Amino acid sequence: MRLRFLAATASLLVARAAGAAPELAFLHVEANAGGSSGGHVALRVGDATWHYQNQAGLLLLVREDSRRFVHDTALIENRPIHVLRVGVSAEAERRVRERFQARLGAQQSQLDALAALRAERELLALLARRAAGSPLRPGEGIAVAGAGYFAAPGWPFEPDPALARLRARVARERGESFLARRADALRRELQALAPSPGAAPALPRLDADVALPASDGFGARAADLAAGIEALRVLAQARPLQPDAIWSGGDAAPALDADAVRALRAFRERLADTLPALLDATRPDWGTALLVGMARLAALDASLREGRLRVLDAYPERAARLDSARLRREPGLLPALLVDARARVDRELAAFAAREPGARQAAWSDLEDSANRHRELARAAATGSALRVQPERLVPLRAAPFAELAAPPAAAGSLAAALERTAAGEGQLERELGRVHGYELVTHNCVSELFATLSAAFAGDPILEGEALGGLVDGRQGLEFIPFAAAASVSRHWRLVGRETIPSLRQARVAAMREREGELAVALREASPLTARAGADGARESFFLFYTDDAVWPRPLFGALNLGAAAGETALGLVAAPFDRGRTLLRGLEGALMSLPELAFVNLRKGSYDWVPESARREIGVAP
Amino acid sequence: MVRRESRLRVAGTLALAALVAGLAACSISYSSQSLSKSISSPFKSSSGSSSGESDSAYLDEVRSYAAGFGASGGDATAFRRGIGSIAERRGIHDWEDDDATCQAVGQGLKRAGLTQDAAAALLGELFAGRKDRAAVAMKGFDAGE
Repeated sequence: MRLRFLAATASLLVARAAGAAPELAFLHVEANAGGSSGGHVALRVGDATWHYQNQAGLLLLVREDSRRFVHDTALIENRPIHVLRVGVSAEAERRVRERFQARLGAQQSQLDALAALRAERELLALLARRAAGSPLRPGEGIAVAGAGYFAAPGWPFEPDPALARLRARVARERGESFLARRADALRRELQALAPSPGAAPALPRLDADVALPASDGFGARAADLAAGIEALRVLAQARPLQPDAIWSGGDAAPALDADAVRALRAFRERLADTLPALLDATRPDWGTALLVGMARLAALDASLREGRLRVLDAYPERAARLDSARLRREPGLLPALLVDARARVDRELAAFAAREPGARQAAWSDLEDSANRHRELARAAATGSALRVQPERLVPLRAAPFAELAAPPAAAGSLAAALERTAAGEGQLERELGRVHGYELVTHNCVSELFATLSAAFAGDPILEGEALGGLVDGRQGLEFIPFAAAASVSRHWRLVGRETIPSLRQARVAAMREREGELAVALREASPLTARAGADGARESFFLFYTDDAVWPRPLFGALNLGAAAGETALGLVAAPFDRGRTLLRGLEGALMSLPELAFVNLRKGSYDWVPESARREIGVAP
Repeated sequence: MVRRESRLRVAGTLALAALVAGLAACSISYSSQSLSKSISSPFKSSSGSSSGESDSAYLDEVRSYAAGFGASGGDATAFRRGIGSIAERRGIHDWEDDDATCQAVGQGLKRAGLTQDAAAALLGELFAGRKDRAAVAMKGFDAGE
């Protein structure tokens, strides 16, 4: 019976069938420890799920793949999701989708503007020091993305064969001296470049829905010129890749079959044809594009020479690492992950081979990402060392410093003034971002902003919004700022065409066990993480004795026992604090905090998982 | 009396839950930053689909950006830098050579309500010197979304 209930949810998570009536789905995610402990809300539109997250004090819009959202939420975080579906017109669905997308773009442009001001301020500070007579320290300069893959100047090297061919082609088509002349012109331009005198243009009052234009100021132009000069230098010298730029470990990388060889060869030729066009490009950032393109070209060439897939190491220099001790605690994990990752690389390689030539950059990027994750797992498994990790897409942008930065003493005054202006502009933008996007528990949280964006999709016209959704929910009335209260309002006011609950992984597993083994035995065994077989005992969970999410009447008693266990962990943490930097102490305190509501019949903590394979989606009734 | 006690209990429960919730409301869960999310490709939605949602999210972003530019105008260099930045996050180093990106730019201009002549003129400016790529973008404009 329960399994049938679970299977019924499957249809919720697959893409809407072509021709099906358009709909929006309001998602209420139940509370759990670790984050969003008051629950969370999101809006599913087609295959995208939109939600606002508090990231270091800023409430930022996030777009996620709907399956990924369910995987992270219902499986890893072990939180049930209540789905409230409302039928809408195609026009209403389009309005909502485009409004959320525009909001995301505006938000990104504002964060990019802040990053550009920061980079400009750092460059100006460096130039001001140079003008005052300080020499550059090692590693200082403009960070040129893509340049870090190539052999550094000052070391002997053999020219890279693919880049040597590219250089010969450019020389044939544009003349032998083209690269040198172009580089000289860029150097002159860089030397003449100076910050604009006078006051910086005033920052407009920020609006969350209005994009800022991409920066074209002093810092951005200096970085463009530096990247151009560096790209021309690499090409002129046909500099080879650094030994660690591509993985040559021997050898877990997939061997290339005939289809893959054909596809890689075609992509290599396409790059060789199109990269020279970047030398005339009107886009200001052509230098970085050329550097990354040349590094990819060299990696492709190496793959074809060696008959195995070689991709650029795309992990950022300061990638987070999972320490090896933690990996050793779960000895079965890395082998399982490796199998999963290898299958993914094979799929991506096949997908790359099947793509049209004009679509292969994106497919190569997918393949790069998967191959990087696979090889990193293989390396960590083989050496027992820490594992580099990155939640975002891995893009090869390894930087090297560009140090040809002259700042004559005469420029000291103007540089100091420009530095002051840029720092002031950065501070102003930071304050504006805080004003517009700043998180507040009651008035500006994941609920209020989701409904505000939804209203904006209908131009703030309540009649239009009411007609589209069946009714109005403001997200700021009464207790609506709390996710479950907002969900109750949606239930009351919107024109729902269906409602379902996607169970958490532990709920689904316990339900399946009950069917197989009987109620009582499973209920007793699964009540505690100490005896449970359904898991949800993530490594970072605080210590607790009983699950209380499915135990209503014993909840205060279990809560008291959990509070006692948390007190014990806290006491242990006090003793261990000098040795573990207070980690155990903090976990104990968090455990106590999560246990308190249980005394009043309120459950927040549900346990979580460290890793769940995609195949586990079947357990909650979702196709992997 | 019973009803009043019940109300008080509900209010107390909500206050307690709100207190605890307030400490980490709407924040990123630590488990979402843990092993599973960190080691697997973030854009994979299923074992069967390669990069469907990834491309959908990326192309939506390009369309939206181009639509904003088409509607409000602005500096062509800033536009190229903006698209370059979006493409870079997607792992596309040369967006002018990516058919889907070019077509999405055209679709964005259509969404902005530009006439065919206005779109052709603007695309000619944005893809200055690369008529073949402007033509690919124009195909996106003609096809719409």
